[in-house]
Amino acid sequence: MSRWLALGLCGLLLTGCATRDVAFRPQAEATRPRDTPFSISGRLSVKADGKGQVANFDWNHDAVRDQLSINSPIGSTVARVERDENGVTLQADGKTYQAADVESLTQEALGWPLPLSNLAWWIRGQAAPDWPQNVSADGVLHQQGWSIRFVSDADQPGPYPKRVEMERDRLSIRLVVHAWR
Amino acid sequence: MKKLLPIILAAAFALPAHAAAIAQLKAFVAGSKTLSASFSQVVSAKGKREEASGQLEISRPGKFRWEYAKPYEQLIVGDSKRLWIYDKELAQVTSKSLDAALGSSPAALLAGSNAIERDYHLKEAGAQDGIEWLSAAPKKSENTFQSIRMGFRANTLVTMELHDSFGNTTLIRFADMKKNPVLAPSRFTFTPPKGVDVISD
Repeated sequence: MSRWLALGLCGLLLTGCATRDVAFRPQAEATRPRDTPFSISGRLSVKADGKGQVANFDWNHDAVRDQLSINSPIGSTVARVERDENGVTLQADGKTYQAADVESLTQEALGWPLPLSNLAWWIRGQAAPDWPQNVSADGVLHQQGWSIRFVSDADQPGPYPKRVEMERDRLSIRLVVHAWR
Repeated sequence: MKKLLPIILAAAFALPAHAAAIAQLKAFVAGSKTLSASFSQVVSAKGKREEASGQLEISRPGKFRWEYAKPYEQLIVGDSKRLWIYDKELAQVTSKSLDAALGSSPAALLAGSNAIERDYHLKEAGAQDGIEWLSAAPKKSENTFQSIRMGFRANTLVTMELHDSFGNTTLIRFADMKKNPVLAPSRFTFTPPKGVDVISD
């Protein structure tokens, strides 16, 4: 009874009731993972040197193209990153930036590097192929200089992690996906 | 409440229900020191349609609570000095100066006593289906919204439409709107839950 009451209160109050976070366990793949296209919506937070922000995002991905929009909670786009065979562009504040890869572009325009090409794997709870990797005993993936923790909801495990937490130097990025299409 | 009653009555009698939208906006702001409503939000763009819904509370001047319940839980509180965003699944609290945060929620705009008239050029935009519309264009170009439309019926805001420069349209519909409800001060303060990471600007 008290458990149901607690659940009810969590639903009403939002504050203080943590879900049961556990480490996400990816399904073992016998073969090399395939880069299946995806279209997702979620929220992310970025913390660099103790300062940071939270935003919504939409991300359309396939093997040759990415479109990542950073949005306000009510859906207006603040910045948009587009990658194709010709390179990468970022639009923000009425300006357009161009570069060869997303990392150097976001470093220049936003002040922190977003590892988009490997994040396309990490967001699915997988290590990026073709990059050296090691997984520590607590399940944290180490790749491309980042430590990546995959978190799952114990009560609602799914095919993808509920939350991905990435850390590197004095930078941390968290992502939650609320819609896979 | 006694102080407010003459204002509300004055607003109600001075303006017939079909008054033009700008007059209705003024009557709406003057006639609601506090406000509560539920809202539904649809963001659409080419190949995209996202729905969300939640609750809104306002205490003028400058305090608001904008709370998403679906499809995820996210709480946005403006305590008149700072803006707090708590995303439960992200396990993250963000705090920033409210000046920098006006674009983050229509509640910030609505909670001000004259923020809309101060920051936007207002224009009548006609009537449709019993709703009087106004359009608002930001005076400063760095605003995230290119244009906002607000729809009124009986001196009450019923809908808002926001357009940004990337082709997104956000349509917000308000329901169960209550003017001048009693709202506890604690609705407009935020204390980060224990164990949740807090970042600020």
